[in-house]
Amino acid sequence: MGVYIPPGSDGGEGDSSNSGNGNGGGGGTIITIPNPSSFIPRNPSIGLKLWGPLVPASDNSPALYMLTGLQIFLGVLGFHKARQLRSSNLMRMGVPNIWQRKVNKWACALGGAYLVFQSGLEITRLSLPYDPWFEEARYYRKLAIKNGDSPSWWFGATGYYIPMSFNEWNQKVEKWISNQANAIEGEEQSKGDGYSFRLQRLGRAPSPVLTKLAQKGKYAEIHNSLHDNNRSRISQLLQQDLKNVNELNKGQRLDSILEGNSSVKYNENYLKPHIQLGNHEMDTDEAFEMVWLNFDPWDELKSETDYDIRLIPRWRWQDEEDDTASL
Amino acid sequence: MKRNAVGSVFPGLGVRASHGITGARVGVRAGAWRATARRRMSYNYNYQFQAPRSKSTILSRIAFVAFGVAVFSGYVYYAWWPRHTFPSSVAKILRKGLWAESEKGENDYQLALKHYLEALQHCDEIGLDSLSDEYTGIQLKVGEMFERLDMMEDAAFVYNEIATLYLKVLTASPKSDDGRRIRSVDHRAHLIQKDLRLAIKLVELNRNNPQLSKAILMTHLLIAQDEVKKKLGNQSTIQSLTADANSPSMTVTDYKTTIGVDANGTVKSIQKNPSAWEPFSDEFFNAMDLLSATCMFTGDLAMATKVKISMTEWMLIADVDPQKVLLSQCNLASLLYLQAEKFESQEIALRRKFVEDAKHDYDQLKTSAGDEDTKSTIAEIESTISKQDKSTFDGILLNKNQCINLALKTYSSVLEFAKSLPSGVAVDDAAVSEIVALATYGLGVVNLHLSDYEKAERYLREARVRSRSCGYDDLISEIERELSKLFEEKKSSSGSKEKYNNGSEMRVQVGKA
Repeated sequence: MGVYIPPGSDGGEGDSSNSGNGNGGGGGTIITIPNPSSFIPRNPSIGLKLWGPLVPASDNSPALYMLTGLQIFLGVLGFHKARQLRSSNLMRMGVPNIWQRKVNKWACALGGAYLVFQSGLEITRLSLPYDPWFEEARYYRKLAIKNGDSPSWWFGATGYYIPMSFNEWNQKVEKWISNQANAIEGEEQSKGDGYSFRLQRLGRAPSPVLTKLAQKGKYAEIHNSLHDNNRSRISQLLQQDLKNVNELNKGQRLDSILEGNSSVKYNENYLKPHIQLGNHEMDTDEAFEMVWLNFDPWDELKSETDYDIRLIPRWRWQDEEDDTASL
Repeated sequence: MKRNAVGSVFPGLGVRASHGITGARVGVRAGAWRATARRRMSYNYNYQFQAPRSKSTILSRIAFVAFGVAVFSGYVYYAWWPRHTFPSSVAKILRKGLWAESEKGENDYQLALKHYLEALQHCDEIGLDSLSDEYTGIQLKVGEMFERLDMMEDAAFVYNEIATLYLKVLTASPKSDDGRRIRSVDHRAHLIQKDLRLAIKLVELNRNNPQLSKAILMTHLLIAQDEVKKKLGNQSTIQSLTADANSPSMTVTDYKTTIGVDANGTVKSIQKNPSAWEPFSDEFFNAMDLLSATCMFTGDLAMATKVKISMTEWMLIADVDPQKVLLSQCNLASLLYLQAEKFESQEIALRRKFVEDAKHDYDQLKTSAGDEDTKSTIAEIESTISKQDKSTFDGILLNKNQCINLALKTYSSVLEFAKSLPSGVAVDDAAVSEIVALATYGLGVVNLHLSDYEKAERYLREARVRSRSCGYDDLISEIERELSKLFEEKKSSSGSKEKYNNGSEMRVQVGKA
């Protein structure tokens, strides 16, 4: 993938984040004045909409829970106040129950109910095992960190994306739930015998693909032998070839490799650039994790295996069989 | 950063709590009523204080709140405190490896390899789960170092170890020990994603062995496909890859039904379900693409086409980026054209056989085409052909024409689909215009094949303009070559009947996306 340019820098219109892939357009050195509205965080939520731009990033569960807690608290406070404004309570305190107080009472009660209800919705969302907003926010936070930015703990990588709409979110969750249901059902099918028998009668026999593969492949055996083989190879390498490799003889070793005198040689076909630490520090475990995240081997493997295959046809010059065309 | 924020929970709660108590009282006092009822107000105050809360209840309240805060913060700590992905002891070794590997350590891959191997040994000692991304991540690093140091065999062993572990776990029955290592449906999908990446890596390492590559891709794709099928449930229209592997050749109707889906802009009627492919959508289609190309290399065009058709269809269900669908569709058209050429060569071979079976000289007959003599000879030959041969021949001819027509149609559908795309959002315009140029070029080549020189020239010229405007230089040279073939062909068809037969085939351009 190309270099990712945060959409916040081109007028805030950004790219829709349907698949989470950044579409870095053409680079260039055009300096555009960013739309100020792109600086306002627009984190999505179901029950915290009241807070507007203060809503924390979707991948920040502590903050979301905190805000939800605060909202519940305010709601309960509303109830409490409404309770104090009850006519019986006012009478007991000898305060006249004028209409403002009645209005106040109802406003507090309804407001409190609204807040608590909304918090309930938000908690429901937070307790869902799959949250597309969460995935999205986490993806862009990671991306921002990789790009060298430090996204805010509370608001997330705000300039990088516009969160998906509620409709999209809803669709994704719905699909996810039905897919999970299907998958779990499939698993159940291959589990108990009685159950699968019942399903077979229903005409839904378990898919035998994996069982067949497992029988044919004998992967467990192959894996075990590969594992043992590799472990003995590791200890062999560490005890012999690499035993005397250390920081002290680094210069000598590297020189002899370059001169071609060493038994070790580099693979010239290996084109991936080496990692650049630059100013990164790795003194603490946190800093190390940052760096490791930056050069995550699995992410690198992904970009290594991302192909774009184009077939370009060519016309084949050949004899045209005019004479036997009547066949 | 996180530490501060979590710490602020306490002051936050404290402030809120005190607000709560005073706020309630202020609420009672506030309002227009305040001025007139000051006296009574103070009375109320006294009244309230006359019914005092005993000290013990206040203390118990404070204790209760403190307890709540403690429980809450304990939970916060337990649930969200940033936990390290690596145990500290492993991190210590890995840090040295990263350092040695980087420019700071002068790219000392040997030393880095040593540290990574030590880290792996240490992970085995402390019992880190070998299925975790951390463990396999270190293995990948080891593999990379082996590759850099040109120890390809060792690298292959390492990659194969991970791959077979995934295969072992993913194909295990859910009840077995291996099956239980998969924690959830999402975890399974996560493993499949990694598995597919590795499969592609293995294919890359076995570049020179297309048969093996094909087997690798098929195996890993079967698992992924099974998962997708499971998730799609009854909605699933996916056919299995295994079924195709055994069928020797496809019938023409197969092409028809599947391409019809997107030929006429009926794309939107497809029920999309991208989440069935999440999170391994990219890897899945990359692997499919590679499988199709590998099949092409092994000469199994029918399979290649079949894979490509399924792939394009699934891409629509998986709702991938439109430029990827376009490219896949465009490649499908090219494959169809290639297949048509293959049918044509079969056709020619059969013709030669017919003529030679009847004891005539094929080349001589051909050069003298148009003579009365030749025509009668041909009629004579025709009468000698057996019924079976004749039907085979007709079948091939039919297939060829179908393939050519479908190739044309598919290329055109790429152009139409590209036109219908909304511009801007989520569309990589540069990539789309490159693919449009490629499809236009394809139309030119097919028309050239059909000897429709005018159309071919028009398309090729248009393709040239398009690829110039989007800077697709690779294609321009191809276009120039085809154009020169075209001009020569035009000349020769009017003048001498000199023909060439340079067995050219498809050029496969593999680029990193």
